[in-house]
Amino acid sequence: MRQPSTKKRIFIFFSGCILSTSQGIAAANPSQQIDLLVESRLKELAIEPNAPTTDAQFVRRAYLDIVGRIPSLEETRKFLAIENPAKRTILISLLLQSEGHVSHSFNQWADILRAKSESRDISGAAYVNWIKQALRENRSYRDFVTELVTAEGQTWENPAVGFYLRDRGMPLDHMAYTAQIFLAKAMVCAQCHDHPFDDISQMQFYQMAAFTYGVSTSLRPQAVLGLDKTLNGRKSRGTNARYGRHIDQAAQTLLAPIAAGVEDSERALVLPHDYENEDASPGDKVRPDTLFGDQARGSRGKKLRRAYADWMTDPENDRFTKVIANRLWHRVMGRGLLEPIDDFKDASEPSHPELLDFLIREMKRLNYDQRAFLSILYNTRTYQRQATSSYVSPGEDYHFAGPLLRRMSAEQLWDSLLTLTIPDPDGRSAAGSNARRLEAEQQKAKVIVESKKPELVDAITGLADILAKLDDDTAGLRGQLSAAIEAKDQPKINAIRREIRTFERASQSEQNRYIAAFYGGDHTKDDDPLSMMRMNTTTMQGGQMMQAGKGTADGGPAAQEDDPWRGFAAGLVRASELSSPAPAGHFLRQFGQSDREVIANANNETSSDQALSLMNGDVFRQITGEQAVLMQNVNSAATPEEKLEVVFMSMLGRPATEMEIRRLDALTENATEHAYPTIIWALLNTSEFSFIQ
Amino acid sequence: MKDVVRKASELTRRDFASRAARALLGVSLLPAGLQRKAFAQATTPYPGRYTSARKVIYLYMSGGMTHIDTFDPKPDHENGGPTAAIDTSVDGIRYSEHLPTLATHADKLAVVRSMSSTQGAHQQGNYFMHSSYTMRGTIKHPGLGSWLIKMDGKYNPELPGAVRIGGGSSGSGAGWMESKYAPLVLGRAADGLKNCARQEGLNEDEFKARLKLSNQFESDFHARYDHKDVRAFGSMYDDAIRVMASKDLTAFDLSKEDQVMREAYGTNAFGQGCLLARRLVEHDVRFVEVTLGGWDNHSDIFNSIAGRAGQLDQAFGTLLTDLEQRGLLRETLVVLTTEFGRTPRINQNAGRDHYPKVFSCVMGGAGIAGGQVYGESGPGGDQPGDLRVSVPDFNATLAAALGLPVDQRVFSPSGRPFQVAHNGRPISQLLA
Repeated sequence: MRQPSTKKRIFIFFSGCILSTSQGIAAANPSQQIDLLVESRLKELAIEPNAPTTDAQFVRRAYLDIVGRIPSLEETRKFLAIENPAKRTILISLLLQSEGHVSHSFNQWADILRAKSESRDISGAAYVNWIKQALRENRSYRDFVTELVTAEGQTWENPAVGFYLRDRGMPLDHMAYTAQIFLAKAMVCAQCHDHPFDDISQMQFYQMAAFTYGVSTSLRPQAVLGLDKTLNGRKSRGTNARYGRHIDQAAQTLLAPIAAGVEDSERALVLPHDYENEDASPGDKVRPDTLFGDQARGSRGKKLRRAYADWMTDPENDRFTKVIANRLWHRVMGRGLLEPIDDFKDASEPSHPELLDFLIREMKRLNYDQRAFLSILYNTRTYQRQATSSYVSPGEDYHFAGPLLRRMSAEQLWDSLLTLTIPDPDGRSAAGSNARRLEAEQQKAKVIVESKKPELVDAITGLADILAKLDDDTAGLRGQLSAAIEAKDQPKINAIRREIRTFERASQSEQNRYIAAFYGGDHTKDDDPLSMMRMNTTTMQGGQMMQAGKGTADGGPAAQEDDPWRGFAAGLVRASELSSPAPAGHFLRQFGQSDREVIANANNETSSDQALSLMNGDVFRQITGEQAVLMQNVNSAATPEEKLEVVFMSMLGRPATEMEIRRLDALTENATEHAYPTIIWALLNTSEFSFIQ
Repeated sequence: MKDVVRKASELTRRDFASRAARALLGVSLLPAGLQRKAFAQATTPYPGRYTSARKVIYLYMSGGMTHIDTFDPKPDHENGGPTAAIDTSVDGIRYSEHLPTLATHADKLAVVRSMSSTQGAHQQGNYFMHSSYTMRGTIKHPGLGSWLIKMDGKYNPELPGAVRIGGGSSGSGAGWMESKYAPLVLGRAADGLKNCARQEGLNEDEFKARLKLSNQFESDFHARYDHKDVRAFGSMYDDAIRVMASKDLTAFDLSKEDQVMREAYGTNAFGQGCLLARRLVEHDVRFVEVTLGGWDNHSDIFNSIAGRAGQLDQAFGTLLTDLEQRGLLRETLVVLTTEFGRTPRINQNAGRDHYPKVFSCVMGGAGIAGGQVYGESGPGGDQPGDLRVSVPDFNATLAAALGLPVDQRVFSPSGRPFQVAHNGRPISQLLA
């Protein structure tokens, strides 16, 4: 599936006459007001604001900040060549509407929401797709949050249920995460006791949690289908004592396609047995109540969650708006007006109260349109100044003389290297395989729902028999293993473990065959979502990913003749198109991509293996490969001077300085094909490449 | 072209020396006060006995390890669930049935059954356990490995002082300390340290010429941005170049181990990580952390515990045997921690939830009085009793076993004082 590409839009913009700039000027008003607020503070404190960025600095930063990658050579050159004074405003607007922006925003939201595409069922992949789609449609932030917190049904009907399924079996943590993300209220402490530094009691936490505690994330399909009684009857028939467990396991496996969903139940939240406050006793039932502001009204179940969503996203609830306004300000400038951005204490004071109020008003005025809001921020003089050259530590006051200097995130680095490698990186999508996985899963659900009860029971019993057989076959071996461990006989321990594994593997293939036969049809084997995911993961590991000629990104069987990415490895897609998170050991993880375990877990710390990867790893081969965009551009330039210019403009967005050219003269005058890879290598390993000025 | 590069290389040799060659010598980068000590330790054969541990293998059970189903079984209480207890090599000490191998090593281990944390969420608990400080928005705290290298230096000047294998994307970094104290992070043990060799067809002179060129391009940017992160970026290259030149690179290569040994540790990521940890301490890396995830058993705990604990039992058990046979256990402190325990009461999903109030951690090997259980969690596994051990106390004990000055205050660049285990006090009964 091809997305509308940034490149094309920009081409339209630059090749036609310049678009009307009236839109840009209209949007400039709030931007100017922001500048006035920032600059008056700077003046009070006698701090000189940073100098404005040059166009070359601006275009590189705008691409990195808005679409998450460096601009291509063509994109940089076109921008620099235009003489329209409103060209920055127009570029910002085009970038915000591009697929590249969806990709970049997704990386940030996946980190915040801890969205994992590889879950035990299809729900993770579906949820990831849903988030991207919401960003692509620029759904208002209020609707986005409302759809998440009120999500119900099965994954294929409503993939937003992934918001709850991500925290399956952890309803209390789920509420703590939700409050942290959308209300910047750290409630994790209050799960076990009153918050030590903030005004939240354990009771208040439980009252909040009571809104969503009834959301059931462990649908038992046996119960949904009314099979429990019959299945319980079968449990005593087996050959060993654990047959009951085998029946349960078989039912879970076979009915998994209809187990991924959420439904509202009447389950009530009660206070924990060690509840110590005076206001209630352990075991007391907790009534839902809001943390602040108006009470959410709505009696139970679905209505209750709707009331809670309405309360949370109410524009009158300043806190909800403040959190997203501050979060986006932080994204643009590198520092929030309130820090930390997801943990506001009652006592915390914003660094610029008037400015924060103004941002809150704008967010409301724009109806929570994130792109429109970002557009205002990117159009400020404040953003368009040079990055502050010194390090500002987390606790230090900062007055926004310009944005902070930042190192590229793992995703920005990966996507920038991709830009040097493949044409139109934002257009290459891996969505095809995800869609097929979802479809296959829907098909399986249909098979289950359309089967008659006795058929299902027989199928489950059959699978349980296979599991029981494995149990029986290995019982003796497990006994021997205990004895061998006791005797510390290591070769024997290894041998027995190997033998057990052989039985397990054989049984696994038998189970797979059996399950595939049950769902019927040819598609089931190849499109089994889990095996598809595993396959994707394997092809994305380390070096393999960089090798060219491994098919297309969507795993489709044959590359189209006009496929612009023909010959590039399937794994050469933007970070947002790979699994979320990328597998351990992947380049992205090496450079600090979030593992999606806790909120905003990406990190920018250096580690020597990163330098090893840039110096000696696959990325250099990738960007200097014959087919790579960068090398194609170098090769098609006529003179050594032009070739040098291509390398510098492609990688740093600026031509070489005179000093640099003098140093390089020796290298390039009798230029061979090795000169340019050497220069590319040298630039790849500079901080100037990896930092966003 | 080669001529050109060689010429460039000659011209630049002196400049190159300022970054790469100095880096290759390694020790000169250590703080002045530590140089002689580190050098002496790296070149003098170890004496037979130590008063304190010199290296650490730190096993982290990510997700919150259930204490009741591992090191603190309660077979006679309803909270115990179906988990049985078995005898160990020490009279009167019993572990859960899922740890049969470790049971044979109980004489080397001190199990602290009265751990008590104040942090009930993963990120916060993990952070607290690693740093002894609770999370703050204004500063990041270093982990024990960084403290060890900063206070007592490296042994092997070419290899990193600390290595972390597996585990999440954050935690146990250098915090406010300089990035050279941060552990090297390896994604998968079986991959070892990737990209240590120069690219094929590139000789050493050419490599140096490239580095030289890169340094020249670098100078303007460094002059413009006097910034902590930019400096860290530069020093990461110093470390990497030093590693590339190391004769001890095989330390990272698991293929040098025979198949019996690899299988003995378990052919899973954690088992191979423990084996790699042993190779690294053998090559004088001082602090190696290995993570085993999957302990967050909110539901169906009794279906998954055997597999999880089985991996732990096999890898940790084999590690202890291996370290002992190689004489490494006399100088290596072995630690097992987790962010918190799990609720003694079994929940409605047949799982256990987070429980920081009381849980179990383990230490053993060098510097530790093994064969004991310290503290208790009461009949139901839910109360820490009188011998409550706080997270800082536990870490202070580790620091004491390593001979680190627990009371010494070290100042961050912003002038704030910190101690290796915050306000923790070592527990003398646990020390050898």
